[in-house]
Amino acid sequence: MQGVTVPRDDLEAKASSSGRNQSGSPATNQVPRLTSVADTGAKSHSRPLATVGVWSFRALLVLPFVFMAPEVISLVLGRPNSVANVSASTADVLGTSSLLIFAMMLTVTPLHTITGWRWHLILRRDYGVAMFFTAGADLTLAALTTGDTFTGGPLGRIAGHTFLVFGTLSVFLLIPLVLTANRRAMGWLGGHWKSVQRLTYVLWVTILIHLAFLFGLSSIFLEALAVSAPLALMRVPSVRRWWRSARKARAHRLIRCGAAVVLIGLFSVGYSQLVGELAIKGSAAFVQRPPSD
Amino acid sequence: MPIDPVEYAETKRRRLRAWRLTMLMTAICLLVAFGLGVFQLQAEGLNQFLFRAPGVGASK
Repeated sequence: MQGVTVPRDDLEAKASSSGRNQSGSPATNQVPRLTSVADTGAKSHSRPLATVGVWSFRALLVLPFVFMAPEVISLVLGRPNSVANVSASTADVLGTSSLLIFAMMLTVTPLHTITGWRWHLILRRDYGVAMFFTAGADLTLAALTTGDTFTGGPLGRIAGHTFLVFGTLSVFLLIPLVLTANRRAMGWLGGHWKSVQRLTYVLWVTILIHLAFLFGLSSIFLEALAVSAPLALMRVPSVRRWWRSARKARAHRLIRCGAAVVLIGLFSVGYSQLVGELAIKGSAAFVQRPPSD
Repeated sequence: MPIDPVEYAETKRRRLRAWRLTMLMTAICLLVAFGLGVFQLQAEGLNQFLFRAPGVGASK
């Protein structure tokens, strides 16, 4: 799995053009990856649609900031209750958004495995970078405004509880991931780039621990588990290999279809709950009436 | 095109150095986060650190 990544095509193209493979060893008998005529035709035919799709998904990334904008503007202008409002909203809006964006980022690879689509691969990097900014904004606002609920100053507000430590740790883990999510870093790290991006797995675990400490075995933690389970299953190498070869051979259609329905169903159950949560808390934040604790 | 072994070795060394630098940065991030946690644990006590009242940290 890759998390905050540049599409693999770029990596392969770069490795091929520099005469080396991904592990940095000299290219021996390396055959450049060729695109078939059929692929090219399909690509050129669906390119406008793919562009619309990619930009539609990118547009969703501004939503958390739109939800929080009125409260943050009030905070900057020093209006009454603005600190309390931001304090009440930041975790609900930006925290839930970060989780949703992370889940979307993790969905890119399984979606490619299931369908063979490539148009959406660029979104993996976009969603990873967006998650960094959303989670970073959450951490910053929490450090600045949650003095009413946490003692110990700004440090207490980002590390005063077990769940805060793991939330902060998750944001910090995003730093190396985001800094290396570009072509220059890929060239710089060569074959090691992939191992750096595997930090996404660690991040995944720390996010789940953060949610477990925060919510226990209820609500958002269970929804996060429901979202995570199909994404994790589709990353099991044997499952991924089987699915890919079956898809290419056009075999086991019934099994694949049934499994896809179950996996997408489970994912949707968790994801729709999280979206509902964000819609309620986000709209309340937008009108500056966050739920009182 | 033949590959220059000197250039290849240099590239390999440069990439390893870059990877070490990235891992060092990651380790620092981990240490800072856990360091802050340990500092707060000492300052606030175990109960305060482990348990949260409803509404603290999230509205649920």
